[in-house]
Amino acid sequence: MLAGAVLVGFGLALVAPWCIRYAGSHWGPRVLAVYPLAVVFLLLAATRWFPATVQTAFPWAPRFGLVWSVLVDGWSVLFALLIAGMGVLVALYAGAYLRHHRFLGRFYMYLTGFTAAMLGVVLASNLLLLFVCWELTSIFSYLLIGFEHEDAKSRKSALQALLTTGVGGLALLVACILLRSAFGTWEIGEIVQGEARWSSAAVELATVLLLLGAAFTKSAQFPFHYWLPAAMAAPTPVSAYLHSATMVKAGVFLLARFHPVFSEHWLWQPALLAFGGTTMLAGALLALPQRDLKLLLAYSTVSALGTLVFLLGIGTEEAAAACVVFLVAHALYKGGLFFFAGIVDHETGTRDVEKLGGLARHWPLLATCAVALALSMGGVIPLFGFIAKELAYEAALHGVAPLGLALLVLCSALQVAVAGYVVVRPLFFRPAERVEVHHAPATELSCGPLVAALASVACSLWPGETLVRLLRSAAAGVYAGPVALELSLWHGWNPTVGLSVLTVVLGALVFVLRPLWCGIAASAGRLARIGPAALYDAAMYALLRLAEWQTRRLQTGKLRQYQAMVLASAVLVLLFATSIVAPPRTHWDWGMFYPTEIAVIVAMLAGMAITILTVSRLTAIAGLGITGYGVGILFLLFGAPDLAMTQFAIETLTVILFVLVLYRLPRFESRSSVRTRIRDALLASAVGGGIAFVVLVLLAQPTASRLAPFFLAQSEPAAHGRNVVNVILVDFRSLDTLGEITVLGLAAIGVGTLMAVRGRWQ
Amino acid sequence: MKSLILLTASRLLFPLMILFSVFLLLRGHNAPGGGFVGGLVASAAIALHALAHGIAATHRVVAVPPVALVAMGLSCALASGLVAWAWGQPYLTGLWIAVPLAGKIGTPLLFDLGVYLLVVGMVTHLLFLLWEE
Repeated sequence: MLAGAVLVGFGLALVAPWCIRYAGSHWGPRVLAVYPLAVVFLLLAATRWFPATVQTAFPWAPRFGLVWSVLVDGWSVLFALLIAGMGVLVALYAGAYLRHHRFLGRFYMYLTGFTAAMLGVVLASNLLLLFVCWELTSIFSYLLIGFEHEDAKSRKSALQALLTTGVGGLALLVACILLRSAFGTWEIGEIVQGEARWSSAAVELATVLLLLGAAFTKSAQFPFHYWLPAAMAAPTPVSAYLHSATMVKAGVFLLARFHPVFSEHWLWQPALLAFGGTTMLAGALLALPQRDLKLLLAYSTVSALGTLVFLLGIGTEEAAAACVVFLVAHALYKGGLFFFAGIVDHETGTRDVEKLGGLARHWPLLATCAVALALSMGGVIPLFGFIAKELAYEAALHGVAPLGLALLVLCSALQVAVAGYVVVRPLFFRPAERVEVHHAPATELSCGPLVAALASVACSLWPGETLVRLLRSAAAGVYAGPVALELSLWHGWNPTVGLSVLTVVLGALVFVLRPLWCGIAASAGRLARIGPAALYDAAMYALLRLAEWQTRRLQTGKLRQYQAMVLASAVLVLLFATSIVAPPRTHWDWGMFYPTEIAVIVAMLAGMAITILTVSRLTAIAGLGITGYGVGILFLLFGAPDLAMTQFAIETLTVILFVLVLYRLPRFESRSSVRTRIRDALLASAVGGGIAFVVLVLLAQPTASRLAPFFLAQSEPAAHGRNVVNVILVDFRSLDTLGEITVLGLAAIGVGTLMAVRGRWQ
Repeated sequence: MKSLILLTASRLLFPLMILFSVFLLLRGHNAPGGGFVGGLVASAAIALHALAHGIAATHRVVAVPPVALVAMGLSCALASGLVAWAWGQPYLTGLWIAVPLAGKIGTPLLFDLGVYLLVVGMVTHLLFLLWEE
């Protein structure tokens, strides 16, 4: 069922534009929102199958071990629920947000495809399927981020995201292959429970590094975090989706998936702790001086991703529980706050926090939701974020050095300040200038923050048996053992509560002192010149320069140089290849030439001499024609009438076409210098001599080909033809011929285009 | 550059060459010939026609845009492979049926016809382009 659901998503993506066109921009999005909604119900039903089941839909490419199968366990179902649940909200929200956009249908195609790809990533049971879906999410997110493709910044951000996550995707592919070779299976479930046979410690280390690389690029861990804030060029619904539940969490998903496999490895946990910790701090510090609502949220997402990786790095039972709960809490509040930011942008026309203020008066309900979400982000009782943070503190308190705990508390405090900044300022502060509120947000727009806020409250106050069971089994999947996870708001007075209070106080302090930090950040802004984003830019710049340089070198625009390069490299490659496969021996016997053949060859040589020596183009063509017909006669003498006929026809047509061209050319006026002529003569002799040598060597090799006898024997009985040459062309090797004639057709069209372009230049 | 000799000769040669090209196409499976050579001969006939009568007259004779011939040829070749699919065989498997009087007819002939049309289309396309520039 679930495997089919992913497939249905891809199918739906294809028809989404028509759905929008015929159902209209009002009903179309609602119709398409049914898909994630249906997936949500399917997933809820799937919780019955726990602990874990594998469902195979169909073998996709069984020879490569690629099977379309899904792994239904706590971790995948929890993730899929987040994806599908947020998917419903985003689908509805985007319908209102982009109602009058002329490419709404296209948007929904990308969005639905992205949802399906994301579901594929988290549900995939087959490593190759996981990889395919992983790359699809990169491609769809590229399309989504670059949706406003007429904006250069949008295009650049999209490309940046694609390249960064694409490199990670390649790392994932290699990691998958190494995993397959160590575990002997493509199935993730079997790998997690299986016994590894690493061929060497280096291979295992390589696998770990590649997996970390894939996850860190996707999840925007330092130093790959730069693509995520840049991806804010996307329409806000996309940001909400990419950053709350989906794209950026895929890396965390991957890490958690393989956590049981590598948790014993010496590099795994230290790397997670180091990179997670750095990202957590860097994200929070970078978030603080921002003024753009979306950028504030984006950097705080980077920080939250760091926290998730950090928690995984702790690796204890409590940390696994905290990681799972934090994941859900973050998805809810971050999605909701992005929705809120989108509404503010949509209705007031600005996202600049410094300019906004006093919005609570206009939208009391929305303001309540936003405050609830911000409280959840700040980890204040009684929101779900509070439980998540308590669990995280608990895990850090018991599982990691005091320094790690201090780091976590500091970052949480910074998050409190950011949350306050995102919500308190636009809602309650006096605006710097008058803010125009155009109209009340549409119902679908308000729906997003409302549902997210309600869920944040409900999950903490009335967790319910299903949620606890789901979280427990998800944490068990990460930890690879049963996890005692309780969702209770109040444990009595204990150290973590003290830390929570400290966090909020610290956060308030940071909120007040923010201008000070902004000043420091502004003066430290020069550091950005050596930051990762600048490195990325420098690398792109260098790549373009390199491309430009080699293009200038190779693409001189002179036909003669192209020809010289092609011929010379062809001969060199042929000689090299021949020297590898065959010993250089030839059968050379003057007696094998018949007088007729010698006569033809003499005529051909004469034709060549005419071509070279003449001063008239027409005579040169005629000389070439003599040589060409000579080749045809040789074919005939050696018993190849098909080839000979073709050669004659081609020669005739070539002469006609040449004449047509010559007609328009001036007379030979400037002839090339003696030096060029000598160079060309040397090159031509080298090419001719080289090819002749290769042919002689290859003919002298003992052949053990079974093809020729097969073709000769089977031509009549199997292919009903006595002309073996033609039978090979149209039957035995017809696929080759198909390729060749396709090239011919394209060449014809290409020539036509070139001529048309030339005409325009003139 | 109208020449009376060329004009008269082409009036006779053009239909003969076209006929000959079709003959080459049809007999190609059992004797020297085939779609490629056939197409080249037909192209040569068209070139001759153009030399004798001028390009405008040839345009009227060819009637369809040469690129359409290229597309038709490619479609023919592709379609000949699809027939095998319909019968549950791998793509491009040659299928034959016996036809009274004509002997055996099979999908390779359709394939060869595709090659023929494509070659004619390509050469004619180049011819027209170069001539008219």
